[in-house]
Amino acid sequence: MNQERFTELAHLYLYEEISDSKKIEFENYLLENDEAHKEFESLQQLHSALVTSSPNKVNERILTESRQTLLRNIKNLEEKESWFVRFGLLLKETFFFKYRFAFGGIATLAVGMFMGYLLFAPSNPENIFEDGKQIDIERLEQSGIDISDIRFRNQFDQEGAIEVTFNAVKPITYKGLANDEVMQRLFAAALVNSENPGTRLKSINKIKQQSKENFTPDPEIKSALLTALKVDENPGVRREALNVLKKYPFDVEIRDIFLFVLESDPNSGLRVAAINALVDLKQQGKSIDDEIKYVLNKQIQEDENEFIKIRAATLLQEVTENE
Amino acid sequence: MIQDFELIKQAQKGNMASFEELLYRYDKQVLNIATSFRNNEEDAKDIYQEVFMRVYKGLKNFQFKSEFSTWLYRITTNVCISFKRREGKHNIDSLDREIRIDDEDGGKVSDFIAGDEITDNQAVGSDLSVHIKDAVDTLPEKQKMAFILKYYEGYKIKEIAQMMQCSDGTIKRYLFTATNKMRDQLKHVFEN
Repeated sequence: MNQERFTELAHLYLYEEISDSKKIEFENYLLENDEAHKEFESLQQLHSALVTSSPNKVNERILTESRQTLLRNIKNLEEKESWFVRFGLLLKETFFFKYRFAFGGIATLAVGMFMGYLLFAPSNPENIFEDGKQIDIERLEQSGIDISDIRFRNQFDQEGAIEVTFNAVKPITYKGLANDEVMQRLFAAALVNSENPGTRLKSINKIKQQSKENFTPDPEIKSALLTALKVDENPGVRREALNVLKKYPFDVEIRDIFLFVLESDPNSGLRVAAINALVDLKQQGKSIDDEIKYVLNKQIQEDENEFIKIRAATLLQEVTENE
Repeated sequence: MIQDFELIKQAQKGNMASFEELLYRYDKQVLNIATSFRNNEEDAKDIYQEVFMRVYKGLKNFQFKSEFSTWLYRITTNVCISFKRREGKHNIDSLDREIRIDDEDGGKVSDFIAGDEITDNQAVGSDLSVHIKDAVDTLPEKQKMAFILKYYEGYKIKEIAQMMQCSDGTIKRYLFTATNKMRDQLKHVFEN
């Protein structure tokens, strides 16, 4: 047996991926050849050292964090894509199907007017730009325009000037009662889209004020609350979302989100709140189904928090006794 | 338990809950592979995001020509092997980290600086697993991936070949070469 063949068979033997016939051939070779036997023992020692040096498996905290980040990234991606898709569909419907000739005419007219404006309009508009270099910031601020996303186009040109672009968006003001539908939807949108945790908390509190026990919730608001409880990075926001959802009529979606929090939320306070919500359900006479029992059992085994373990065990015991 | 096939079909129709269910079935293993491969928590998290964003985007076109798990692990191995550290995020390379030239060859950064001197870590460290971890880090990417999937994750050669999209023979070659290199690197540890 040459060295190459010996190496292959020795490794396959150690991996337990050798066929029976080759195994016999290899074992016989070892019996007949002392040097090969020594070489194999040395390989065997290395093999077992390598296998036992396997690094620790990832812990649940990293896994949960990664899951939350991923779901947030996917949600952001979906939102971006759905906006483009909707805009594309609108254009397609408008221009290619219904009123293509009429809109074609209007578009030509609009382009003509725009070109005319560009060619003949005064080059120094009186409102924002003073002389093409300076911007009247005071006037901008007085008009309530929001300046955001400032970007540097050229750091410095030959004369030392810097060119920047920015978005100047004028805010829309809507005045209405907290319980009107538009206002509630605005709160839901702010809850999901706002980057400011204070704004998200305020939105939840406004939704909460309008959420009486067991009323029928707006699906969009409910979905925003479920999303916030699942992926919001701020535990305060997640807790408030859970408190509002407790008031909603109990259904499978709410059961699943409570179980998700109990199983996966890195904040033990929130896991306690989730198990308390399940205890409340039982006290209200709602059935504790197999899914809930499964998660309770899992938490008894795996949760790091002793209080949650005890609470889960007590609830499970009560349920079993009642059955 | 719902089969992967059903979950994929539902996820392809845009059902997010089904996608999440699929994710929860496999993501721990993906993170384990990434962690063993990069030996760095932040890199492993980045790889996790990259893998599952690719899966999410590609799932719509998944045609069941292979098992979902095979496809997923294929993406995982590709992302791991081609992973480049984000600039500025983890820009400090260990002296024992290898400068990889191609699949087979490579040399440690320390080799280029200090000739054949061993690093402090190796000289002082007494824990065998630390030496092994350091030695694994010096393997070229593909050998290292084959090594991790075999020794740490316990996959069969055939399974590794499917994941890494090459023949059984190539995987055997990666494994044998990797083991020989490890043996050379750990010689002084075993002798002591």
